Amino acid sequence: MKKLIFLLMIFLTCYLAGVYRNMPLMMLAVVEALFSVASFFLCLHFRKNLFLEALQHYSCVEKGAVLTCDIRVWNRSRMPISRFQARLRCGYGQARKRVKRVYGGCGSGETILQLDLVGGYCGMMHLRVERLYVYDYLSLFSLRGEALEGAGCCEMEVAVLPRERVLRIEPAMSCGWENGAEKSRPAGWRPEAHDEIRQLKEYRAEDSTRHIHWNQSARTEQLWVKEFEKEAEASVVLFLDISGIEMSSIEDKDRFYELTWAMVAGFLEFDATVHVCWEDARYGGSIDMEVADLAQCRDMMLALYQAEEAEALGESERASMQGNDWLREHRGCYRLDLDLCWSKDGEVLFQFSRKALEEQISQGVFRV
Amino acid sequence: MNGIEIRTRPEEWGEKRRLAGLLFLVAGVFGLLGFFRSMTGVSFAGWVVYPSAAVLCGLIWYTYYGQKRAFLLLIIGAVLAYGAAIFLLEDTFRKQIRYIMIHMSGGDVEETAVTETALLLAGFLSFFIAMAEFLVHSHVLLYLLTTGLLLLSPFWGVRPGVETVVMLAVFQIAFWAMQTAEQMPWRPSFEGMDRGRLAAWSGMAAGILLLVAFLFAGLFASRQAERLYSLVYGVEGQLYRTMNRLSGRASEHVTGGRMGRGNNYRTGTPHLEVLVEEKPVETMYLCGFWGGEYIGGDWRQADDETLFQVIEEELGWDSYSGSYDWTRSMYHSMYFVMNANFRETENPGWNNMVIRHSNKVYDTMFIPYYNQGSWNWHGDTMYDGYTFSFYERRDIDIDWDSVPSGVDLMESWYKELRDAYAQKAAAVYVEVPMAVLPRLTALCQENPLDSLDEITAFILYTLHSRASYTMTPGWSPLNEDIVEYFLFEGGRGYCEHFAAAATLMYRLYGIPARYVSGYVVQPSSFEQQEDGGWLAVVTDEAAHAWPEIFLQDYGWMPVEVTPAIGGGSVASYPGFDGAVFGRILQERGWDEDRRNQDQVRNRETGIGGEGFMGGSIDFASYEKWLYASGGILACLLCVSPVLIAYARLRRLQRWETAGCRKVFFRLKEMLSFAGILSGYDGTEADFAGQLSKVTGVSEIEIVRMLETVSEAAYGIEAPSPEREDAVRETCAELAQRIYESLGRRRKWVFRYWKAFI
Repeated sequence: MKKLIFLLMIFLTCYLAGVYRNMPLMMLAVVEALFSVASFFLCLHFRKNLFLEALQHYSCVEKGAVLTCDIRVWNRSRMPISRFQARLRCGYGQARKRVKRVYGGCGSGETILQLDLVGGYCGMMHLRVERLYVYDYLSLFSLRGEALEGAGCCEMEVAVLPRERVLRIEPAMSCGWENGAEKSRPAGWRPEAHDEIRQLKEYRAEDSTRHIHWNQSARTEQLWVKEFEKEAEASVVLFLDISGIEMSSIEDKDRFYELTWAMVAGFLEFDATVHVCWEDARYGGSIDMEVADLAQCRDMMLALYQAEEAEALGESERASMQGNDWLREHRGCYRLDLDLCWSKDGEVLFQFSRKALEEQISQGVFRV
Repeated sequence: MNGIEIRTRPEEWGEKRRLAGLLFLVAGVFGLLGFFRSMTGVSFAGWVVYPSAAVLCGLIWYTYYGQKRAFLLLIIGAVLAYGAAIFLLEDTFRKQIRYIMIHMSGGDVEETAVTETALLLAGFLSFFIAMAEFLVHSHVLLYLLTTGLLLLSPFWGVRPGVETVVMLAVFQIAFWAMQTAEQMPWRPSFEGMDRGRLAAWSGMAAGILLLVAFLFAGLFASRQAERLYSLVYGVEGQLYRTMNRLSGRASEHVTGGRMGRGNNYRTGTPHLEVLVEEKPVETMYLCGFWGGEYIGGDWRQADDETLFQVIEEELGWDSYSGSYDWTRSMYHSMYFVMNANFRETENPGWNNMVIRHSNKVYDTMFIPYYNQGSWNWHGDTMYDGYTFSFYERRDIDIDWDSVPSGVDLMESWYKELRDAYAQKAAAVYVEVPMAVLPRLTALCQENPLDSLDEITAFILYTLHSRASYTMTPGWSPLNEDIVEYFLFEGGRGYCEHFAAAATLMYRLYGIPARYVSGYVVQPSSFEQQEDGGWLAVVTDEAAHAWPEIFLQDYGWMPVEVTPAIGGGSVASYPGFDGAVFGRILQERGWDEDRRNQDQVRNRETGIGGEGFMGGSIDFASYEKWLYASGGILACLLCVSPVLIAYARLRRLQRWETAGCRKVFFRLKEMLSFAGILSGYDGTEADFAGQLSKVTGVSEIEIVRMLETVSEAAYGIEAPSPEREDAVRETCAELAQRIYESLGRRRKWVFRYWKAFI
């Protein structure tokens, strides 16, 4: 539109200059026409000389918090680029990704620009600068930049973790613990050897996937596993039924992750470990992650996000993911499914509401 | 949208005071003041107004981006000062504004300087533009406003000079580029840009690009002006012809008293068929409209009806006819009848003519001179044309002296009618609205002449020396009289302009004259038909306008004053021809060629407010601007060391507080400038070692610096201020070592232009 108006002005100026034989106006029309052509060639020049690169490819952020991503912009031209547009294709997991247009500008040479992102849902957020457009100084022309062709340098994965909220769980009856814990613990807790991380080592084929340190692996792009020191401690087991997660909406997944975090954090209030288990279709077996603190809880969530990346499953696989067999073998475990149904040994403890989940987490008190 | 939001940080105040903003602001204010000055009759003391405007712009810019309190005080002070000025100088402002308005509407008053009003305007413009650009960040309004002013200026007869257009264009484009770079606040954008700096550089780049374009365009447009104009006329003419053909207007007769203010495009559509018995020898004039009263660009139909009514009353003929048509018909055929009956020489015999309208519409009749019509005046019954018997002008040879007077004969009545009409015509057809035509009136008054031949010669000389014939003279301003504009400014026109100017000049000299429009048919246009008659198909290309003067013995006589018609530039009537014209020119010392050259040069090389209208640029006329530019450049050169030193200090100060990542990028710029470790981007394992080897700075310090920068980029927490300081110190040390390794010229650039140390 701007271009059309500018061209119209040039024609109008030229016409009036001609019919009134006005030399300064005719000069102006010629100048504007020349400037338009020069602007187009400037655009061509810029498109070959602008490069974008994401400096961080993996990041974590709490839901609702601002994540600042650094983008390195390199303008090889000697002239400043007043405006460019990066088309970001972004979305969660397998969900359809949408395009967001972000504008920027840079002087000659290298510049580090920031992109402030806020994840509205929990899950693994993917961002990729799909296209780059450069503009001339008046934004009359825009041409697709060549810098991103075939390059994977502008991709980012951001794990959006649930907000640190705690579900208020209270025991229905007090019980004693082997280590004489002061607090009462809910039914279903079982004493177990708790593993204190001694060190991280590189992942080998014989290592259990449950001990992968997801956070560190995400940072370094190499799989790391945790080595533990044995310590006798009590723990509770929470089985997550994530069958059909690849089909769920991002809102449903968000609620599930929020509740999972809050529930695990609720159990952690009792100074014990929580074993969070789920069936992972990618490995064809169960994942058992031990969570003793919030840092491990974050690792657990990252691992859980990876599970949703699995392709759509068949009926039999989906049935196995519901963990019925596993639960039969492990009596006394808690179970949470995507419908937000919290149960134990087949008995429904509480059915969380999709609409009132926020309220239930923040205000509810659950006796188990 | 899909749960992902891209946040835009709130606008940060400060650090946006860029010199570019001030420069473009001044360009805009100066451009608009220049535009004001280029209005007809407006003049002011530029040495007062321009510096005042520049100082005010500087104050606004400085205080707006500096201390807000000072800015508010400036606004309050300006309002008070202007309020007081308006109160104290109310009469002066009122008088000056009235003067400007009169000039704008095409009036003529004594030239007055409007410096006070210009100062007021400069203040208003400075604040208005500064607020729109700096505060509201809206350039659209000002762009449209300035573009509108420039585009509308020709309509008002305002001719801004090149310098005004350059300044306005720089203002428009540079601020547009600045606003583009500053981005729209509602658009999601990357953060971390120094938007003010980016905007300034973008504006400067666009401004320089524009100035370069002006340099080329100036040379190109000045050399190829006519081609460019012709290109426009070609397109306009094509559109006009197409529209006329499609709408059917092409077949309508081109006649009337409305003079063309634009170009005259013809379609070649046949309008008339003229069939004569004998092929004419002279150019045939077919009159369709007679102009009586002149009203600024338009001619009213000559009111002969009233004239004949008065004549009949005076001659006592009203009792005969009971109808005015009788006297009028008698007068119209009078010269034909008299020529047929009272001649000194043998009667050559008259010619007969049939005129048919191609479009079969007979709302206007086209009448030859010296005719006797046998037509029906009522157009709705003339399906097959109308006829005349007529003499050519060379065949008119009436012996009025042989007509007996006091005898109750038709011939004596004719003589009485001739005398009565001559008396009335001399009173009616010499009226000129002098207030509308001040320059033309003055011209005639400055050149008093007595004889008709001298008057005709002077008119021809004036027309031919001041104007040239073209069908595409361009448009004339709406607030100027077309005849005055044609003769004194445009200098280009076609038959209507020549005819109108000549008619008015004749009248100013007291010669009864009328403006006539119709068709002119050249003898060569006639082709013999099978029946022996001669037929001419008259197209709209033969439409013409000419003046006619009243000669007592010949009645209304056409005088050809349009140079292109008839192949010559000399009008002729009984007693006047080319030889007489040449003799008078010689006697009077009127040199057509010299005057013509002077006029063309004057029109082409207007300075400042007058601008220039075509041809090539005369750089001598821009001498004062060249001197001024040279002076400014010299001043800038003198103060440039101070400015460069100041800019360097500012930049160094900024780097003292910059984050370690920015400092590191600056180090990479230094390395790139010095050509050291090209190909390294700072992440290589051996970067520290290589840099240490080249510069001699301790490798440990460099490694520490890299660690700190890496931590700042990827770490969870920002490095401590002490470590940031350490990075800055290491970079400063490296900069010093790099500086020492450079040659003299590059050292200067490194230190002062790049301000690395």
